[in-house]
Amino acid sequence: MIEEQLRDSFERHEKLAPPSAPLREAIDRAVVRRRRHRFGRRLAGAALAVTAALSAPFVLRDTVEPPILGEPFLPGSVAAVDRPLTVAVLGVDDDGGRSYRADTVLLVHVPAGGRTAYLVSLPRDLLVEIPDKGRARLGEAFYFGSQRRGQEPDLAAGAALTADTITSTTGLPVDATVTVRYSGLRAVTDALGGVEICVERPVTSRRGDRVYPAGCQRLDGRSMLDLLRQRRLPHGVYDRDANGRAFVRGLISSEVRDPVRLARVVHAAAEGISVAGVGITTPQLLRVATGIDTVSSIDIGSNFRGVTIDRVEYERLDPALSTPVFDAIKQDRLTGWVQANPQAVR
Amino acid sequence: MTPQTYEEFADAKLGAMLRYAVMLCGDPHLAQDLVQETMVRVQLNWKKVVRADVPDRYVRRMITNQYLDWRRGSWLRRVLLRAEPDESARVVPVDHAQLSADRDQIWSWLARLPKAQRAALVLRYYEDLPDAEIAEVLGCAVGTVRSSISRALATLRAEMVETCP
Repeated sequence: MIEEQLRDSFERHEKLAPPSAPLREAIDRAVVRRRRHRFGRRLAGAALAVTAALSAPFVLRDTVEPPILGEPFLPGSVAAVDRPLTVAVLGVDDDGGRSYRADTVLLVHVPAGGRTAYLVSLPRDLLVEIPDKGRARLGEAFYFGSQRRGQEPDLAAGAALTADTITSTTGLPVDATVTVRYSGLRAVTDALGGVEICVERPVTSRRGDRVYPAGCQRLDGRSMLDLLRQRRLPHGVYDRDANGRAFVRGLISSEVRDPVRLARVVHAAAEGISVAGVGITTPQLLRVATGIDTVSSIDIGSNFRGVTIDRVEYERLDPALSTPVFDAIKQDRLTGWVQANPQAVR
Repeated sequence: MTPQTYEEFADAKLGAMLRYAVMLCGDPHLAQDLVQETMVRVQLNWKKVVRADVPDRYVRRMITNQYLDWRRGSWLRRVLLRAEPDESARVVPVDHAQLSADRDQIWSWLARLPKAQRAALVLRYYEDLPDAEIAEVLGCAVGTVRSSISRALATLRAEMVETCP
């Protein structure tokens, strides 16, 4: 009989159900809002996939439930990318605080629906036409963009001009830029208690006081920076870029389960890294980079095609190696391309 | 017939989902939040939902999980969930319904039951689902469904004896 009363009670309370039409509209509005957010989150995710902040999502995944991303019923749905993303990561080193050049230009591409980020480095000395400026090296675009007469350099403007230059040179749209100062890398490395890096060739510090042997080693921030700055290597800046990518891979596999240390990483990342093209702050970004599982680098050539114009040396890309990659990125079929050309991936 | 698009699904099922949510939480506002949060996710992940054998049951399961999780989540999540209220969608419940609800003793006892037990009661006595399907929606064993229903009924009976001896 209690069963009957229950049925009655449920039935009587059907009246309480609110009308569905206004709710339907509210749902649609919320979906639009959330889609917009989700895109921003993805941009962020891709951007952070190659920055120091990268280590954070892996940490978050293990220790705390990421707050907004907790989708307990449809796991995996968060990271499905609706459109491909390309993020330019610019490693800048300051010349005593007066001017900045991009020493490292790394493109991070995440294909639509992908959970893998692909890294492609562009040589710093690449011959480019900077919009409204003319012939220059790629790394100088940052300088031309950021330099302000009598004022502090404007890093955001430097990043924007570099992004435009990348687009006009490679034809690839750049969705966001991440500017990493070396100080940022150092802080993050230290906050992680050191990062393991695996280099293919031994690296000798310029001052000759230290040799980093080939193979894997765990380095603190200061040593890591020293290693990453070296370019007196058999293949010059190409080898240095390879070391930069090795650092990124090392970061990704760093595991931190200590929340206090995590907080330090987040803080360190926020200090030395600026993100543009996304309307959210770095700590927010940290939470959301969970989408990317793996990172692999694509080699577009350590084949030297140097050229000297007016006594300035420039690098040029080998179109045979770079054009297929750029085309695949533009047409969002990089995943397939990589499967067909495994030799290009490291 | 299985709905092919989110729109068809919402046309056909939104009302039923709302009623189900009201039975679960006993409060029209909470029910609305619950259904809104779930249906947003349903729409964003429609491809996945439609791949389920019975999308209807899949969504019901989402609502149930959301309800069971509601206060169990972290405070941060709760703050975030409540952070963007949609004022225009607020509905004032019909007063006399609310009044009669207040007078309804069984209804108020239901509010004191553990959530999983209440969900099991709703699924059996409102949705009239067989125990196997209830187990599926709740994500537990059939035996667990039966024992939580009998425990819930025992609690209600005890309440009843106490009030009208």
